[in-house]
Amino acid sequence: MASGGLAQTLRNRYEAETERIRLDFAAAHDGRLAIQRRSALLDSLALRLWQEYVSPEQTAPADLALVAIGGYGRGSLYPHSDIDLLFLYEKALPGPERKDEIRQLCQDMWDMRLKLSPTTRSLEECDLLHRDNLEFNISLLDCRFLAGNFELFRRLHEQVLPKFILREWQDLVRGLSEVNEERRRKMGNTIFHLEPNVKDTPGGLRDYHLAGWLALLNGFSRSRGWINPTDTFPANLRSSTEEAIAFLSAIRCFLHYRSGRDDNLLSWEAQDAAAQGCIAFADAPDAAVWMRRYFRHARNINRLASVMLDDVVPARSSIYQQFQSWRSRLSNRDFAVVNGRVYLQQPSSIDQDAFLRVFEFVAQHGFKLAGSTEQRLEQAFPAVSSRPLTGGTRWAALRAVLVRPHAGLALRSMQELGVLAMIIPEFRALDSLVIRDFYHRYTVDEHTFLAIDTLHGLRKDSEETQHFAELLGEVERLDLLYLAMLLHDVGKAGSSESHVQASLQAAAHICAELELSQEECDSICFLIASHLEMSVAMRRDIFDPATLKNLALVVGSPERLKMLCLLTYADISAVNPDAMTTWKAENLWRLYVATVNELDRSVDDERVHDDMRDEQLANILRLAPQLEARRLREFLQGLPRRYLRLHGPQEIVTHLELAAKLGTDAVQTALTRRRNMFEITVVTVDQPALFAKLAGILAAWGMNIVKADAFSNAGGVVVDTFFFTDRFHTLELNVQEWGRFQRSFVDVLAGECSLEALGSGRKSDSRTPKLRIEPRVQVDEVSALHSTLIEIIAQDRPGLLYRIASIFAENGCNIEVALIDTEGEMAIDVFYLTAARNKLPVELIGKLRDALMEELQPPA
Amino acid sequence: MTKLEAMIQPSKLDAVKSALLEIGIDGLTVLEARGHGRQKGHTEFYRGREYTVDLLPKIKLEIVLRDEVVEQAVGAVIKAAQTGKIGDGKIFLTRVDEAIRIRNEERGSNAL
Repeated sequence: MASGGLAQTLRNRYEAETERIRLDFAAAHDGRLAIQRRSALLDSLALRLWQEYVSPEQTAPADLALVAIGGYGRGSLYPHSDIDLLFLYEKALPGPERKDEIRQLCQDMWDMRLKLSPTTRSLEECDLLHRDNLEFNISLLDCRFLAGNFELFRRLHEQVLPKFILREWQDLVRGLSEVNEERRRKMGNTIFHLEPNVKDTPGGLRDYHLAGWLALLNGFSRSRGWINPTDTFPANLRSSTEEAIAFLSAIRCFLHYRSGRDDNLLSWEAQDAAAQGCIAFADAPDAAVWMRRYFRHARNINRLASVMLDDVVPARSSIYQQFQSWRSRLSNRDFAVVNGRVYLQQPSSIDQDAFLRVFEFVAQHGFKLAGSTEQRLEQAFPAVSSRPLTGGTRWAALRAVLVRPHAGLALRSMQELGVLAMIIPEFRALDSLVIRDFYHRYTVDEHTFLAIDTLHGLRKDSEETQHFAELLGEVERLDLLYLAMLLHDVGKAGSSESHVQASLQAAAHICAELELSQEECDSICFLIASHLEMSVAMRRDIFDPATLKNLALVVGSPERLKMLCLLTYADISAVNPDAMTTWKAENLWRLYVATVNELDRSVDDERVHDDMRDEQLANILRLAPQLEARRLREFLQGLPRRYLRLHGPQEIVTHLELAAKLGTDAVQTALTRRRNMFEITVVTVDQPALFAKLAGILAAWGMNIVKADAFSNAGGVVVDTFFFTDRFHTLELNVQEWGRFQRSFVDVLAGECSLEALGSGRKSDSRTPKLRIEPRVQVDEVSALHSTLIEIIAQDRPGLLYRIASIFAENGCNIEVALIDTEGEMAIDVFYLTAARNKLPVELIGKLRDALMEELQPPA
Repeated sequence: MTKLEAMIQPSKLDAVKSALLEIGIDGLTVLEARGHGRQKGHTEFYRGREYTVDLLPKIKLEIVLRDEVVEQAVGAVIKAAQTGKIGDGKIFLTRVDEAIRIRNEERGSNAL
């Protein structure tokens, strides 16, 4: 030990300077200055002790050098970090006397409560790859001379290490990459933690060091010598990196001073204290605002590390290279895929169209943008964004991304580059927005992207998500579902207490800006307005009839219920990794099933009467000002409310206009071609076996009915809509047949043509079903007040609906409401039946059941 | 010391938590569970498939209490969770031999 006087002097000097550094940090919060000053303090201390114990000459003795390595070598010593010292010798181990000198030096430092990590190594040992201690090899990358034989250090720095790096480059890079992957895996591969570790969590200081090491190693492979790592960081990331490091350094110093130890956990309380203490802020912000800045910086550091890994880490094996080569065949005229990253084929000229399509490419194939591509897009952004995009173009570009399997990856990239805010300006306010509670782990934008990932990730082969994956496959307008998911929390940036209302208002405005139709906008607004309804219902008794009735009233139709259920599943799943438990998923699914059944059970009873809201009428009348409100009320009177949910205002106007012409022609039809099928609506006055005849006409033409709904109003006017596929391409290929097709409805219903005559000469269908579906007939005599509900599940086949409806007609049943659906090869049909305006008598039910079961048996 | 285990309807969790907090009990464990007693469940049909809902969603609470507050806690849970219908749930009380706080190794009711 140093003589008592010197030891005490050194300790006093050290403690005084340490306290000065702490006070200066407390005043200015300059973390980088604090860690540089601390490094300088330790340098002078180590040198003084070297002079005391080893040699009075700073540059002696000849056989030993004192070297700072690791963080100390970088000149970045945090208040309670380890101090890594290397005692470097040439060949022969230090003798007992030298060892004693080293021990005494170290002892004095330990006595000052410094966390010293000394190591003694020869030049030769520094030239070895320590596979089980790669940290030592990496720490040498930051070596810095302190005292002793400078020539020895110079040989280490200029000869041994360069030779070692060039020889072991692949293993070093691979090893760094593996250690990094392990660290990230332990941290959940996300920057989003409620209480992040500012050193080890992705986006923290370790990622910055990693980027520096990779830059250094990359520099060696190119220039064969030492470079300044930050000089080779991508130019577009340098400024944001500087800011991020200044911020993170300040936080880490703050945490060390606060706890008095090497504690890097930004705990809940520490976040509050940092915000109140104005760390990196001019005045004390809310802790949520403070954390928002943290996440922005963490995201930038995370991005830097990712780009450096992409640029430096080589392919691992020939199999990997073959896989990458295969994937690169996805390159096209505009974009190339190399080593799993997207490059622009013509970076010098990128127009607005290509600028937007690159994200569609990412969303389709799941490859990230290369660093150079991001740079080029950032350079092109001002020119691209200066040319205004029409709403339709913006929606087309966004839609192309949203519906593709890797939409989340593309959206994150768009958010980082400002492209998402270009398409939806409201999204700018969500950038790293923090909702600070113990439940919401992610920022609002990340939560939204994760929710979209969740939907795309639903798998039918997973027991937990199977039901929801099947539901997703049934949704007709997936693009609207994903858009609603994207916008559902957009109102959280406002100061309003209810984010639902704020999101709704913003969404209505956005839909108008994107030039969506009124119907599309209504769907989006419904989903956003109701996006908490199922979560709320799950906190009640999910089998309570009142809960189900209320939810059924809110959703109004099975299609909306499906979308809402999926939105709810994704929303909860994306709150935190543990939010969606198997228990909750099961409850949500049960609530969905119970509500679907409630919807089907309540159709006949929930009818439009004089209580119809003027707002609903106004929506419809706005589209057709020539209509009188009185005529509209008359038409709607007595129709099931389900009719209003299934048919938008424009369709209702069309139906009313058709109904108005019934005085001239007793059967009115409207035929429309949809994307994958046709739709025909028949408006006429009810007659016996009407539904059967209509289904029969379609069967006679060889059409396959996929969906249908049949409603009647209080005046006996029937509105039946059929969605069908044109199996023999009759209408698809012969536009002139459309007129004949529509006339056949008039002729058959007027009795001027029989179904048999219509269908004669039609080919029969001999296809073999892929799946055998056992028929089921479920009768519910209780749910509907005025009718008997029959649900039929059966193997779908051409003419099935005609046969079922004929059985009802033959037995004197009137179809009050019909809801027809098909799922794959399964026909799912719900009928509300009456006989002589009453519920069906028991004997008739038995007779119907027998007749139906006989008819529905699948072919052997 | 006594352990109170309560099986309640999920819809009553917030009310029970508030009721316990009001009488000064703020440490509890909540477990998602399924079960039935006399409330047997029912069958739902969807797309031709039968879903037998025989194990209904429940919430299980576990709290270890000082003996002198047990009856108060039982009363609070019952008052908050009771609807009068089958399916309200049950409360079980068992003796606890020892409690230890991990942080500072405190023992007995001081550790609660």
